[in-house]
Amino acid sequence: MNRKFLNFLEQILIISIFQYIFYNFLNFKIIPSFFLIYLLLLSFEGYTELSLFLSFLLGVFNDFFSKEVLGTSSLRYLLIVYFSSFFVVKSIKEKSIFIFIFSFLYFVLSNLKKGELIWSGKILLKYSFLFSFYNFLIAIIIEIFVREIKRKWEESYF
Amino acid sequence: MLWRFRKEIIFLIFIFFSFLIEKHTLNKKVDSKTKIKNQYFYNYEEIIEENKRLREIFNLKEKKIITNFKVAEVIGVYPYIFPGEIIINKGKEDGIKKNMIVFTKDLFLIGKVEEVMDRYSKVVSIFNNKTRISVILGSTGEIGIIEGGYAPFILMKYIPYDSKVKIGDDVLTSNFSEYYFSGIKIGKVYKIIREKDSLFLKIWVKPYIASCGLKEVIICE
Repeated sequence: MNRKFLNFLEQILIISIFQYIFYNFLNFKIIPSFFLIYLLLLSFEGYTELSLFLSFLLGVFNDFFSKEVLGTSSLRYLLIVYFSSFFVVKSIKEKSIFIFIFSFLYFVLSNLKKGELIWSGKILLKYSFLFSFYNFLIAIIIEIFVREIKRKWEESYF
Repeated sequence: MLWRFRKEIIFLIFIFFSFLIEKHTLNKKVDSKTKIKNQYFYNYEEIIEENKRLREIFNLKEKKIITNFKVAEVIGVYPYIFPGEIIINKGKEDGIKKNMIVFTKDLFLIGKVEEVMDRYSKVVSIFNNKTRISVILGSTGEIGIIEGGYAPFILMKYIPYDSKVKIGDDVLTSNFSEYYFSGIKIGKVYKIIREKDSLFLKIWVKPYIASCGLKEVIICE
């Protein structure tokens, strides 16, 4: 239990560092959301309650990094993670596709204010697609990387 | 029984906390930041930069470019790139009213105040889908309308097909706007599209605010 807890802490720290670097040091217009990818992967693994709790926490971190009002990202993360928890997703392919879809929804949500879109539909579609595509690629990389680590770990122990 | 709905319960509890934290941040931001600044010099570079920016703003008053204005700090933007809505830390208590104009320190147009709360206000920027402003081309004097929602650009409409507009021409607010006074710089012409079946040009304007940081803003009537 203790080891698992430390593992989660380690993972949160790593993705927070990545997210911070992307927000502050890289000059990208659209920044992939490491937090969202991590939360969705956790939710797909079956850690729904933990994922919901972390949605709140990482949302606050995200607002610190992106200069949004505290609490707004938490709301979006909570909604996305809650809906994602109804899907049973196992393979890398399925996970990546679902991450693409939910990232798209997340970006559209972040552009909604009182039921109205802040940008025009065409522009929003373009940026949402780009954001989702970045997240999709990162999710594939993370999943392959994690599987490789697990495989090596199993090989060395058994 | 309740254990079955633990997911929903956790979800609702944290939704409630998120709303709470959002409301709290908007209402308390002014006080907390002032307190911190009085207590510690936590980041010298940031304070020096802020000082420089504020000096530039107050120079406007000394040079009598604009005399009656208020300075506010940006406390939130939606979305984080090309924000269509900006939240500032001044509200009714500081004399902010609906439809006041908001500029950058270089006097580039950001937008206008849309909603005023007691301690904060919401500003609709020129990137917002709702924005429609009567503008004038600096070089030819032709009048058109700019439309937001096309980040990172804004769309200028109703300029005649045979206009002599060039790339790089300045776009300013015209005299025909209900809320904006004339001559406020908005952006530069970036691309001109001549569609054969249209009487008007389609002009893409690159707003000045796309390339300047939004930390402090100037608000005036």
